Parts: sequence; structure tokens; C-alpha cells
Amino acid sequence: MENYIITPTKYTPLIELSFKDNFLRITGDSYPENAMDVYQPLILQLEKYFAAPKQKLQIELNLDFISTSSKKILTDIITLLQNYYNAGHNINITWYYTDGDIEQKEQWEMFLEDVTFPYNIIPLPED
Amino acid sequence: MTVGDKGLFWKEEILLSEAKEILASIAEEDKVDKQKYAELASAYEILLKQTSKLTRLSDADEKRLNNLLSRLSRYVSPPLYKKITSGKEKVELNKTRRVKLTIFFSDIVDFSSHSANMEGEALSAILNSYLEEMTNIINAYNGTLDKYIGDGILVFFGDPDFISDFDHSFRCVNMALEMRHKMSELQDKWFKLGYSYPLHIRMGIATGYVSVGNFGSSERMDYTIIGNPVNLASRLQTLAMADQILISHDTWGLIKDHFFCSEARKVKLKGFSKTQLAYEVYGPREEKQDNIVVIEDKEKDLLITYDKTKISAEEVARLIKN
Repeated sequence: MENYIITPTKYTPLIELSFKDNFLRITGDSYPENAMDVYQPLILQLEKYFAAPKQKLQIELNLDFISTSSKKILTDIITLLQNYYNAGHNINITWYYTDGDIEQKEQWEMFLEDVTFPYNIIPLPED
Repeated sequence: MTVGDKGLFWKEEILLSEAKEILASIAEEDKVDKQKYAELASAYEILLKQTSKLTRLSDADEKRLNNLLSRLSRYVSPPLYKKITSGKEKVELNKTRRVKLTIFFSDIVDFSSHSANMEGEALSAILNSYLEEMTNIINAYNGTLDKYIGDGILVFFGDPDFISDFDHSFRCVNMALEMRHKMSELQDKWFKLGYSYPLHIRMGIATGYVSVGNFGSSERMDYTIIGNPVNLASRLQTLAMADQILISHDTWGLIKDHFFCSEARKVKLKGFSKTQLAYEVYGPREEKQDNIVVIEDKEKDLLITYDKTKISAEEVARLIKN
């Protein structure tokens, strides 16, 4: 299956879902005019991805500013991922925060506080 | 239904509509369908959890934004920061105003040449301690710190907060006097940091009409001032001797009743075709009456000022004699 790639804009992040290499990356800021336009197609792609049994997905999130609408959908996506994990898929999240930005780290922890799949919240490596 | 047609809470809306349908289908005498009721309760629980999480995330965002703004505020003068964050300042170009302000320029005499042989760390320690102390004084007098230019400082008074022309000129001159006083305290601190040469400040002040507003490009702009009085203040600063405060005729006209100043001196300044009048500020009037002694004879080109609480007339005479 083709990889799913959405190029970033000033207001939306880069989204890459690789069916071949089993990863999902979301990188950048997220405050789009309509968050559904950005994330609902990704949800549909994830449904296709997890249609195959025992899928493995490594997720890397490197986000900075996120609008409330984007946060709402991200919580939906995380709930969806938890459901896939419960159904036997292998899921792992690495979520980067800006080194020293404790408030951002706390936010990512809040997103993941109810999940049971493995995850890491780690400082973003310096360029 | 296309993606664009779906609202952000489309799942929740479906849930609510199902709940209403169930409620409508139940007659008064019917028993509640336990299975359906359990499904609704479970969905409501998820919804509540999500709402609670989003609220906490939003609060965390506000906290983070405040911290970021607080960091950003260190790059902007407090009066301007207040104006921008209150929404009063439109961040756009070509919206300048012509207002009467008092402008202040200062630098440290020969700082560049004296610091040439210093280690970078010691140099930045001295420069930062100097700018820190001076900025505290600027803020205490509610001046708008326009920019640092190496060891130079550009401040203006009267915008964004304007009370009267007297008010902005009075605050500016008072600030300059306090800066000069602070410099003597800093000498000892710098000496210990390894700077053996005594540093002196020189200051120029002018009052007049300038254009104030955003200058630059739409991507990067400075809230600054342009106009003849800015050049005048800069030139007066260059002309000033160590620890001297030179003010323009316009500034003098506003503050002369409150500060003891020298007689007018005709000065020829670069960029000004006409001769300008400059005055040196010695101190506040009350201080003059009580403590400052001035001996001035223009014909003999003599000017002596001293604070009689710090040095006696006999000692002054002895110093002159030596």
C-alpha cells in the first residue's frame, strides 16, 4: 500500500504514515482552520493500516503549538490507538518535547495518562 | 458525508441524538432497557473524561503561553509590552504617529578601546552588569527602552504613556542623574572583576517632535523613533564629556526650574546646519540650593561645581592650587 504523506504548512504539521516501514510521524505546529480536514483522513488511513492482523506501528510525535481542536482529535486518535492495542496490535509512541519546556512535557503526559501501550516522552535532540 | 461536513464533535452528536431517540421511544410505563442505558453511561463517561482532559490541557497551554510571554517581554520595554499584550498596539507598518518626546542617548566613554584587551567573559560580565543596572533605572522612571547599541542605550519618554511634555522631560533628566550616580557605585564592582580603568558614562538628551511607530518589514519590525531630535540627542551624547549630561534647548526650557544647569553653550553639531544650544545638567534645584556650589566665569572660561557635603571649599582650593 502507498505511504500516506501530507506536506506541512505554516499551520499544519507534516504527517507521514509508512505502511512499509511501520511508522507514523507527525511533526510541526497544528492550528488549522479545520482540524477535521487534517486529521480525519489520517484516521481513515489508520483504519486501513490496522485492518491487517497483528500490525506493528512506531509513532513519533514532534509537535509544538496545538490548537484545542487539534488536541480534541489527537485525544480521539490516542483512544483509537488504545483500542487497536487492546485488539492485539503492537503500538509504541515516542513523543518529543522541547528540552527544558516542562509545561510541554506535562501536556504530553496528560495526553497519554490513560493508555496502557508503551510510550516515551523525551527531550528533542539538539540539531 | 464528507470529512468537511463532519463537525469536530460528530461522534458526540451522534451519541446525543441516540440518547434522545431512546428517551423518546420509552413510554411512561416502560422499564428502561438496561443494556442501552449502560452503553449511554459508558459513552458519557468517555465524553466527560475527554472534556476534563481538554480543559486541563487548555489550562496548561495558558500557563505555557504566559511563561513564553514572560520570556519574550525581556526583549521589549515594559511600557511597550503592556501596550502590545493589552491589544492597544496594532502590530502593523505605516501607522506612525508624530509626537513630542524626550530622547536619551548614552554610552560608556572609550569602552571599545579599553575593552579590546579584555577576555570575552569579563567583558560580557561588565557590559551585562552595566546594562542590567541601567535598565532597572530606565524601568523605574517608566522610560521606553528602544535598543542597546553595544554599550550605548537609546531610551525615549512620552510614549506609549504620555502625561505632559514636562513630565517626560522631567523623568528623563532624573533618570540620567540617577544613572550617573549609579556609575560611581559600579566602579568598585568592575574593579573587582578585573577592569582597572574607571568607566564613565556620557549622556545626551533632546526633546522634540519625532515619528514613533513600527519601522521595518512586515516580518520583522522595530517599535522605534525617527526624527531630528533623535539625531540631536545622539550628537549631544557624542559631544558630552565623561559623566556629563548635555541637554537640548527644548529640554532645558521644560525642566530649567527644577534642575540646576549651566549657561547655554553654542555648539556646532554634525548634521545640523545651524548652531545648537546645549546645557549641562548639574543636579536638582533643591540640591543646588543646599549642597551644590557653583563658581562660573564665562569670560575666563571658568566653571567649578562641587557638592559641599562631600568636599570643603578649602580642599577645592588646595586641589586647584596643586
